[in-house]
Amino acid sequence: MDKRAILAIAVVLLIFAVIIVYEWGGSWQGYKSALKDQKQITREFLEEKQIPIYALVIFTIIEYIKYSWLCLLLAFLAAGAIQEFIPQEKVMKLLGSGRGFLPYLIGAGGGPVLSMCSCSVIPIFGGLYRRGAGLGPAIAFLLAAPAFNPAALFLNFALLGWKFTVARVIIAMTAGMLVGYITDKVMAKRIKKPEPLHIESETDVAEEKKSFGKRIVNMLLYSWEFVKMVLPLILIGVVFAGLIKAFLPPSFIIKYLGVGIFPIMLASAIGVLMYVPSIVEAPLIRGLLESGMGTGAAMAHLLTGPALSLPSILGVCKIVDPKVPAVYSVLMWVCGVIAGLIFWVLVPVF
Amino acid sequence: MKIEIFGPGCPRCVEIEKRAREAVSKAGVTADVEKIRDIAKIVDAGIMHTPGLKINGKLKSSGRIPNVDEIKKWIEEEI
Repeated sequence: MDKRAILAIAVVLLIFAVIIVYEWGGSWQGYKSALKDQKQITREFLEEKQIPIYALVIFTIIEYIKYSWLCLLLAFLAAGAIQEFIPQEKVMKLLGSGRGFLPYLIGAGGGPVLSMCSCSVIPIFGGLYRRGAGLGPAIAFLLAAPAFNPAALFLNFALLGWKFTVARVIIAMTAGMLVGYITDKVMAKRIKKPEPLHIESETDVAEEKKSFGKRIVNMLLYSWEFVKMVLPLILIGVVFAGLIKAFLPPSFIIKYLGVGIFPIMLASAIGVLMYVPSIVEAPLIRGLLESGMGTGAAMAHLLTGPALSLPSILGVCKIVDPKVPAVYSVLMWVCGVIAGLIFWVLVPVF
Repeated sequence: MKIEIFGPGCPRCVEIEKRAREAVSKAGVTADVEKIRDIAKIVDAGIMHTPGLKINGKLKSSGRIPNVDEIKKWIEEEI
């Protein structure tokens, strides 16, 4: 066994040990009930109950893991199954063919099939564009895909609830298609056409028939690769959420990211610029919501956060004219504000 | 022999590079293992699903991480 496997097992055992101590250990019970009764946690409250601030960080981390581990397990299996059983090349061809509305729909909804990794979105975008799928559908894919990442979807459901998850999926698809369509109409004639590109596909390489059992094994292997990729991101998100709850005073969050139109605009703008890997956002937003973030601002950030970031915009600039990302970033910011306002009206409290 | 690995630098791309190097030493050949991280170049090379693996300019796999024996077999085919 190599060192990394041993390390992974050690980490899992450690997490289990902490959870057991946390659930049944005596000294934790007092903190737990005290923290649970109090929705808004203030510094004075922690001092009054003599709860050390690090207890809050640990409490948050464990609570989030408890909420989400089952959903994550399902997400990993689903991701493995998609990778093994759905022929990605065929979906890709569907995207390139057809006129009108259909490529947009496949582009915006094709996320879970085409991208398993948030860093792989840009090469797929480039490939789609150069292959002649059209600028619009390629942008629709680029913007909507991160919301459909299986792990992100399940984690959203576990940590933010079904309202956020359903709304996010609908909003991300709509915004992706809309922004893609408008950008296509405005920019396609002003930039020069991409050089067409022949793409060898893996199906050109002879594919051997595999038995069902072998495919299940493959699926589990893919799932495991996915676990190795995504788990560190989730841990980062959860730790950040704990730190935010412990050290960022709620009054600060309420002032800048609370209720109203200004926080929604700000959250949308932060989402456009800041790099948030598409798994980290769910625990992060939950932490912020618990500390007083408004639902509208949260939705705005969920839409623009993983879809756009400065590094991603710079990456896209290497493939298309820089005016294109400029146009769709602004449009996406507007969409974030509108989506935030709508969601705020529909679901005023978390 | 020339082995090219295409990927912007996520953990999957690191893993495939490791396996490719292992396959090279197992097959006992001398080969240039090159990592291409530039997104424009990845797209130019026709790779849509990272990580991608090319041996002597021929696409062997993309969007997944083949195991060491698989890569070794491809290397032996190319000798």
